[in-house]
Amino acid sequence: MQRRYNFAFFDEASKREIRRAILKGVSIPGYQVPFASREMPIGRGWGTGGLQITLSLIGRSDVLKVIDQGSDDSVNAVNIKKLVVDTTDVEVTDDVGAASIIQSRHRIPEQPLRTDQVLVLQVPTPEPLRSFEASEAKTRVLHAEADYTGAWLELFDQIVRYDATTTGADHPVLVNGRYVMAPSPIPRFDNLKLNQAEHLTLLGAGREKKIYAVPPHTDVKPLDFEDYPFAVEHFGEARCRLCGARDVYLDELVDEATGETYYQCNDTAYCAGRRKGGVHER
Amino acid sequence: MVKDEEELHRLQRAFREVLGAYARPGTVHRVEATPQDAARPAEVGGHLETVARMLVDQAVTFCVVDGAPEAAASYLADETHARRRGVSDADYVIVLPRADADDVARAVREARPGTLVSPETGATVLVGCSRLAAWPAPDGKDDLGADLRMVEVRGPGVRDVNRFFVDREDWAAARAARRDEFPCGIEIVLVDGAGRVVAVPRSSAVTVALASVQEVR
Amino acid sequence: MGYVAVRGGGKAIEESLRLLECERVQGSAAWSVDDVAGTFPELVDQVMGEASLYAPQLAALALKQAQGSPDEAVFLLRAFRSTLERPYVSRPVDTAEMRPDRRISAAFKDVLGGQILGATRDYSHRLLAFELAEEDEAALSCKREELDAHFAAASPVSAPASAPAPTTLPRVLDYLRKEGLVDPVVPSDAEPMDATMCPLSFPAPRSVRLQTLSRGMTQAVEALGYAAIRGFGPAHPTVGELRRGLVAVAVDHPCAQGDPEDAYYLGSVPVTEVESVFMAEGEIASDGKDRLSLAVGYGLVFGRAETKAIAMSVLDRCLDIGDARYPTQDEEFVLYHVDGVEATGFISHLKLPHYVTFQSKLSSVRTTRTSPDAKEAEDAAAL
Repeated sequence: MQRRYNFAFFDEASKREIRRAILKGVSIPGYQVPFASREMPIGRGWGTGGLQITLSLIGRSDVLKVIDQGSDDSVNAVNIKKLVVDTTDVEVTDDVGAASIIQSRHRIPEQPLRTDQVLVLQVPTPEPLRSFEASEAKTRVLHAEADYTGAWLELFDQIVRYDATTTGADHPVLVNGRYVMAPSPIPRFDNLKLNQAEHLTLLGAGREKKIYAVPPHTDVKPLDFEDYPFAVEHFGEARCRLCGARDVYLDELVDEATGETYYQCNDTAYCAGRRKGGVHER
Repeated sequence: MVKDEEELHRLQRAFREVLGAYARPGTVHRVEATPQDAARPAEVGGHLETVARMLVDQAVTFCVVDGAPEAAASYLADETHARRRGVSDADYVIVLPRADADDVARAVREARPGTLVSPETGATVLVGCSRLAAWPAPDGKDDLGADLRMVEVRGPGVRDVNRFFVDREDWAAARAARRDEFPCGIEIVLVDGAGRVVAVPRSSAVTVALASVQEVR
Repeated sequence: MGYVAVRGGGKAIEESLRLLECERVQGSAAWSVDDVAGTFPELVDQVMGEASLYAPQLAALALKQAQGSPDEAVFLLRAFRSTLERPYVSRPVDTAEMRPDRRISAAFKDVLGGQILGATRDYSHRLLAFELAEEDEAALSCKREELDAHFAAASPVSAPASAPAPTTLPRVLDYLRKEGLVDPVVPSDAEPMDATMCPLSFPAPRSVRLQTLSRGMTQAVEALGYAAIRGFGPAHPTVGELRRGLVAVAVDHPCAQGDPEDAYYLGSVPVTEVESVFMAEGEIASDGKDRLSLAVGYGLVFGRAETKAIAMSVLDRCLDIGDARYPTQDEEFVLYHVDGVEATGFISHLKLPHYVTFQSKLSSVRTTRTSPDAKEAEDAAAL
């Protein structure tokens, strides 16, 4: 009963369907294009949306980088890479600069991406309006009418209660002045990297069956108020214990021996690159 | 339907080029031709067929627009298993390179705009043309004929303005006349006889510059 | 150092899979796929039904590989299904053509064509059959011979399931339809939508609704169906007819569409079909008085999943009513949440590391706990 799987896993009709959805997504920046979303050999919620996009993009000459929570070696990143390599034999890399496709969960690499690179983000919950409207039929109408009162009210409510917006990751953004979009649970720190970027970003939600996109050179503005401007996570005076970087997204860790809190670059490849290059200050 | 492994990879490369064209409207990309097949009517053209095969299959509908579309339409229906529909019902509208200005205008005018709730149901119109050229010419070589028109594209995907040359502008006038309310609208993909591809998604603002090649130089 | 555990993930995964395989081979007898399929036919049916793929051998293989976990086996089979091209769609299956090996109606004492109890556990006593623990190959073949002989001697109606029943049977509800008591339904030739090939949209076409319920996680469909009849939906339905048997599947020749005589017969699949009857408001009579009528809920599943088929018919009716006060009548609530692969996937994804998003949450929580003075100082520093 041995059977070889197709190149890039899917049959060609499945790829075609995903490709059609991607092109419509790029044409309507920030709009969630519904797609059939094939069942994948990894769990729904484990990056199947991103994986479906990657598999429909990838060809023999691509070089793939996969990161999860900023790390190339995280179990899920390794697992996704393995599936793609098993079905395509493409080359993989940790080096952002060497990659043509970068699939990521929850982070955008610190090193800015180039025109010829595609960033694929895995999305668990693509609907930015879901927190106050459970019905898909209704949120689609809200998007159609560009009725984003609810999204603003939600932020306003946070300010009234906490004197700050408390969105955490996945802070909603307005794309091309038209659609409110969930940027996937990237930290607020990464939201700004989507604005007028050089690269194309494709976002895939497998379980929720949506694909959407941010083309290069497109306005992406976090929702905020004039008197409560959008703020990224702040780490105070902290810097990476390994490479000394500041102004990067840091992981907060505890030293087992001393019990002290210390910080480390979340983007492990970026940190390793800095240490290799002997850079200690950004 | 994909015939062989080689076609699978050809379509993958074509997709990446077309994706690049969509992501950077107005820039020129290249697709390879689908090898000659005895059954293929000459008017289809191998490059236009590649783009059609990449997008069209049994799950979608299409329409061929031309003075005499029958042979091309039945060939593509056999090859892709896609169902034929009228211009205003088709997911993909394929305008043959030899189609006259009236046919192009009709295709672009009547193509389905989608709805505010489901704008992705707006049609994609593939327009065959004779010549597309990047501007400025990437290798500095400038062998543009006097019959080409410059098109300027602005919008998402474009930093400032992207310019290209094309031998037909009929599609642009018809597109401007549609007055779709964004996000409704259509995508236009221009494909020339050498496999050059330019995409003009609905998000783009297009102007046909009055300048001809001579004047731009 | 603290979190470096995530490094070396590749090696860890390899070893984890090796450990899993070690556990499998430790306990497993060298059962063939046929052994699995023959011993657990209902489990195989369940897996095929939830996977939307009729492939008993592959379903059995999936169960073997999954060490008996139906969720995991469905997952395996569905992922495999994603790699298959679908060039053809079958002709509509007419379940009236079914040759049932079991057919019951709870609505009438007797029905045209008769009640056929068939093989069912419904009236068995759920007492452990301890002798099965000792059952060996010899005992099995002895029992087979004995039972075959028994049924060969009996009338064709009570013949074992493997022998085709002689005739097709009329639908029980046709009797009520003739009388005009059941809401008339215009036969629809609209092309069915396949939820695995087209994006889900709401309101969902009925074909999508039925398909989603039919491939829904068996226990989820049953739980929601139960909730609907217990109090969170319409009252108690009556099973108008439950029939079980083989139905033939055929595809048209791509060039000769339409003529059933030219179609290719692919084979037969076992299904269970249910029509449940509910009281409904009928149209208002000419004298202005309200009238009652009967409405039907429909269920159709692979194999012998009778409880699921009934629950499906209840939910089908619930979604027809669509009174959003009840979650069981809320289309999005039901259709989004009965899918097993999606439910297990999303719940299990919580095991993935989330330290980036958690850090972001921490930052927000800390911001709200900064004292006003400290905040002012911070703001001043920012200037």
